[in-house]
Amino acid sequence: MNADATHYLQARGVGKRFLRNGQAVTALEDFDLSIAEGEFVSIVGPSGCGKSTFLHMVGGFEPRTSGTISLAGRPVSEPGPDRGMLFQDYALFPWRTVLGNVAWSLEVQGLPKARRLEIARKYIAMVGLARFENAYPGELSGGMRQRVALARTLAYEPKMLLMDEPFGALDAQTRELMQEELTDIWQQDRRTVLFVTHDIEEAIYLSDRIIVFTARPGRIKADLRVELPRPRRLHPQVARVHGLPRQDLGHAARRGPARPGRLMSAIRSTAAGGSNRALRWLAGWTLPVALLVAMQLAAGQPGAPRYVVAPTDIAATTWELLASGELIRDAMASGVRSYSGFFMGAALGVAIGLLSAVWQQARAFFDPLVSTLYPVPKVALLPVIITWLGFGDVSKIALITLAVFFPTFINTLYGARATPVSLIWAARNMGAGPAYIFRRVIFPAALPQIFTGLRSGLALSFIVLFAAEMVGSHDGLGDMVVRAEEAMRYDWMYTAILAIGLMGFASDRILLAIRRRLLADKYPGEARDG
Amino acid sequence: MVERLRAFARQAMAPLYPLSVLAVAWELLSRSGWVSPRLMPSIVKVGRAFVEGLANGDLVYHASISFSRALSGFGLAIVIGVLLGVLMARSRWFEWMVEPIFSFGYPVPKIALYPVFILLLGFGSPSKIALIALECTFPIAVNTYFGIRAVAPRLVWSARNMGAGSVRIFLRVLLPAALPAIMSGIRVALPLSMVVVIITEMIGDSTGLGYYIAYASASFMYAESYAGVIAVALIGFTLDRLLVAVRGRIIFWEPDGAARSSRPSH
Repeated sequence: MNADATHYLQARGVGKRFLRNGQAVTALEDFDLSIAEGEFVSIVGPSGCGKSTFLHMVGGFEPRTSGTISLAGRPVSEPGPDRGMLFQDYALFPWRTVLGNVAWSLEVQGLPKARRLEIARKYIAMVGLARFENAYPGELSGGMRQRVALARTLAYEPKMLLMDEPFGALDAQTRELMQEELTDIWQQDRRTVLFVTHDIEEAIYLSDRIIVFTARPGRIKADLRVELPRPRRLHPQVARVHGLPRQDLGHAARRGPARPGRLMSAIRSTAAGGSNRALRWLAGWTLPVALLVAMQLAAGQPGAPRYVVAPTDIAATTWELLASGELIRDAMASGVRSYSGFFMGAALGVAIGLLSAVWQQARAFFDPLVSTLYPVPKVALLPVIITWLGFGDVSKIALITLAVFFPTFINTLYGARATPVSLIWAARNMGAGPAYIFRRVIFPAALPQIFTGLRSGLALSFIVLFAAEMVGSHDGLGDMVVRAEEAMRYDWMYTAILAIGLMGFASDRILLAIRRRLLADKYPGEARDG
Repeated sequence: MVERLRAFARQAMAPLYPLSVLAVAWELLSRSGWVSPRLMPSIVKVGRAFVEGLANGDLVYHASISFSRALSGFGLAIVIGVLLGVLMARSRWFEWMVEPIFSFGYPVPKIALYPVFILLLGFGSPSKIALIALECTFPIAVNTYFGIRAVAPRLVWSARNMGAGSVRIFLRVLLPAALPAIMSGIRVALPLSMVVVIITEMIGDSTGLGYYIAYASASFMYAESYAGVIAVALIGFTLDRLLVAVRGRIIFWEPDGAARSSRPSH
């Protein structure tokens, strides 16, 4: 393309394919590009066209599936400080001050402290933030953060700047200001720049050359030179006067801003796909199987303690207890207790939590009470509750109810209180009454958090159940463990322990399945944990 | 300054209102004669039992035992949990072998293994500390694992771009970035350690607050029993506040709101 250029960056036949949901997606195909030293080149194109992917490959962050990229004659494989990358979301370290962020790369290079602070201050002053060198990124506006990121990148003096929609998250005014500042800084030493954007005017204003990408798979649709004198101040009008083919650009950018995060997550999710899955599955079984084998072998030894029981014996005993109905009787007793306690605690927690969310009087009473008593172990009340309500089911159910109430209440309250105000306003705007808003806006918005609370409550319910049954009961799985231990029948004991574990696990899975059923489609990204 | 003091005072006073309402209701019930005063001794009696327990050293002795057990198990769990979480997040083989244990074992009530621990380690402190460590390791390891995996790739990319090696990236980027998640795992684990220590002391021991409460209750000394419950509550509450203060100190760049919403997740 540019026969007279020195070809600082040279990409030949570059391609990128990856799997998404089992389907091969081609992000880039047979892509050629060369950039001369000192050139400011912008890439524009519709979202998902692979322009950011290309930039990431030049940076050495993402592997390519075909082709070569070389920089000053050397092939690119790893990230390195000869290329300075700038991200749309700044990528600043929130736990370091402005000075600490800018000095970081120099620290990595091993410069002495005085020297690196000096250099860092110089670049901080260059972007006009000298007064803010001790501020943390969280205290700065978006534009200021991007200035810090720019200073940080400039501080290690890369040969080439790679910018991935660096001003995409800024408001229009700040963006123009930043564009001017970038031009000013760039004109001082004319580094090579590769700049990805979806804003054509930005590209025209900044660049010597604009590459227009087609939609996926990304190919070059147009390679345009911006023959405008610098410094440029009246950019949009000037561009129109000079008769640039704006249709091409307009068409390319019509699809709106790109979302680079999506591509990354797709790539990461496929990283462990395919043939690795079987290996992974096998690896997951190694430790449990090793434990079982070790127990089996140890149980056969002559001097082995009595509580080391062969897994085969445990299986046989479990079968026997199942057949005789004893295991089922105890499991039923435990199940009745834990589930009735869980349902009562959950119902109370959700009801009072929602009530407290909308009624200030209830909140003033319950919120501080529950927050204060939250870290207090409710099982401490077990002996007291037994003296009140006896050794029967009632005392156990009451204690489980109490234990489940706390996490359910707190999560319901905070979930409901965190309902975005915009949602409530939108509903009110459409004429919805308070009852309707409560039922159709606040409750659904709180639902994911309610499930978080229910899950904590469920786990607690089994802990409390087991404790209560071991301390005083005449049936149930916890009591079965005690009986087995007294009779020195350790095989029974393991059966009961397995049954409790299984019950806890299965209950959790059922809750997760319900949650998935209720939330999955409506709340993207919510139902995945678990 | 005055504004801040006032806000602080309001926050500190907030629990007093519901707690005093409960106390008044208790006192009324206790005096009404509807409930046997033995089951529900007046608050004065409970208070006297609490002070006496402190004065004669009983309560202090049992509390210090429970406290040291809970903290030993909890401390072990932090070390083991963070280590396992980091290894799972950084080594693929380790992740494949160990991660299923955590995802499947998470909802299993580990307390069910207490009888096995007693057989292995005896009735004393070691079996209790081991069980606390086991129970607390789960939330810490899982939160560490997800915390490190969720570190924004751009942070890591920036660091690599500046030429940082993998050790430096781990210590200076991944670990600080995952600290909020690690801390919320720790916050979930702390009350669990108290729950487990109390339960195990109730089931079988002759020391610790769990034993104190159960013993007093079984000997019809209900005021003492409630005094024990109050001691447990105070320890649990104080430890949690300490942890929140430490978190605010270490993770100054993130507002406390995150801790609040992540607290109840188990």
